[in-house]
Amino acid sequence: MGLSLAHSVRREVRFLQQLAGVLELMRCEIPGRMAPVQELFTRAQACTSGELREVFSFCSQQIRSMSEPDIACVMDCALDEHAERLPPSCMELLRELGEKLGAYDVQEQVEALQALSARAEAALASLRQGRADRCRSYEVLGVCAGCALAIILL
Amino acid sequence: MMDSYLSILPSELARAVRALPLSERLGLRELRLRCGQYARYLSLDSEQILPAGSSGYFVDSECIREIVNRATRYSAYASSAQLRQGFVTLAGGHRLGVCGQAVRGPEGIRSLRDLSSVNLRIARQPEHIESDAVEYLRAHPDSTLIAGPPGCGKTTLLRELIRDRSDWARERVGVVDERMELAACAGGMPGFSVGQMTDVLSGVQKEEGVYMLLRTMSPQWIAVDEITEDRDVDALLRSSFCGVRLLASAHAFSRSDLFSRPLYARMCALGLFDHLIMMDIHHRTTMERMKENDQVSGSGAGRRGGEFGGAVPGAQRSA
Repeated sequence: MGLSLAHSVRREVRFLQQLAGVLELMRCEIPGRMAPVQELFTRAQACTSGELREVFSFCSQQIRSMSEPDIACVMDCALDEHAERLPPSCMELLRELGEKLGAYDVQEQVEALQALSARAEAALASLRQGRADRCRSYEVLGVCAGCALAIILL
Repeated sequence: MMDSYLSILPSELARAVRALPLSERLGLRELRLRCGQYARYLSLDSEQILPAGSSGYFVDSECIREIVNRATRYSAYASSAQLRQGFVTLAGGHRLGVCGQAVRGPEGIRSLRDLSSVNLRIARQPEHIESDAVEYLRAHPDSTLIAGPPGCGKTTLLRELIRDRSDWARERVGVVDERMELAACAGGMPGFSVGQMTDVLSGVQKEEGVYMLLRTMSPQWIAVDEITEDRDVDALLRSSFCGVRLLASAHAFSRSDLFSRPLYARMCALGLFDHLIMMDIHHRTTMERMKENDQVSGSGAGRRGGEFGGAVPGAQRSA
């Protein structure tokens, strides 16, 4: 269990890093090339993995088919379908991304992405600060619990 | 591609359009959606309520917002320049006009909010126009100005002349499509066929666009739609010094109206164009050779075409 907890922390760090990278990509692409949202999601899909990749892939397909009225609905559907095991911090950021992406002109869009990016970085920093200690604690806890169980059984 | 505009409509509205009688659908020109009213359509020459359900399709603000979202491919920032001018160009050459409340900034209109109505103008490009104007340009391949009142088909004819120069004459044509009505490019693809040897600059002011084309695309022809400013004329003059021939259009109700406008009088006096194609609201054309300092009340040397009252439909060519 301790190892599992440590793994989940590392997993959250990995997803937050990928999401921060995606937000940075969008923040650069929009003022530079005015890349439409579908293209942004396709590129986000290419630089992410696991459930995060599935979310962006779903969003890209839904936007191409224009089946939903706006991106917030697209993202909600994507998270309902593919994000069961995403960390809550990532889901919250993605939901907010869905509400803000494509809704403003260039300047405001960049500012909105910068704000989201800053929150992702803050969440990452907080995780990293406690990660080393917590992971070590979880691992020690796990090993001690395992030893105790072994002793009891013996 | 013709029905590609249906993809931006809510499903119920798209169904109602598809359910129109074939003759109405083929003649469908506009779909007008106003907040708080039933959807209307313009086919042939009459505007009427679009049949849907028991009384029609009622339009609300959510519907309009949804349509604009889809029209901009959910990317308002990518279409902000067009939206500030009140329109969005769609794939297939269709155009969505947008009305609402302007949000003003220090540099003018920043955006529109509280959208109140949209007008979906449906593009139709004839497969091929074998007109006298096309034949005239083939026989006289020199700089040509197309003039006429709004709605007479100037842009359609200009587009056909561009395509003919490109495909039939195999000449390189550069198009400055400032308002994205000539080629109507979306996603890099022209919504209208403008020829295999045509390069299109979209959303660029004519002055900038002409210089960009001259520097990089070595055009043999440059085409612009609706000359409206002195700097447009200056840019075209520069390009004529480089040996490039010109195709352009201008608003004028008649030949006398054309020459009475200072901008066009100056343009004609500079000798930018060798030929003039005058169109009327019934799509009739008269073609004539323009001469330097050609004015209605002047020498009369260029009066062969005459006013519309005496215009001969079709070919009226001058030497």
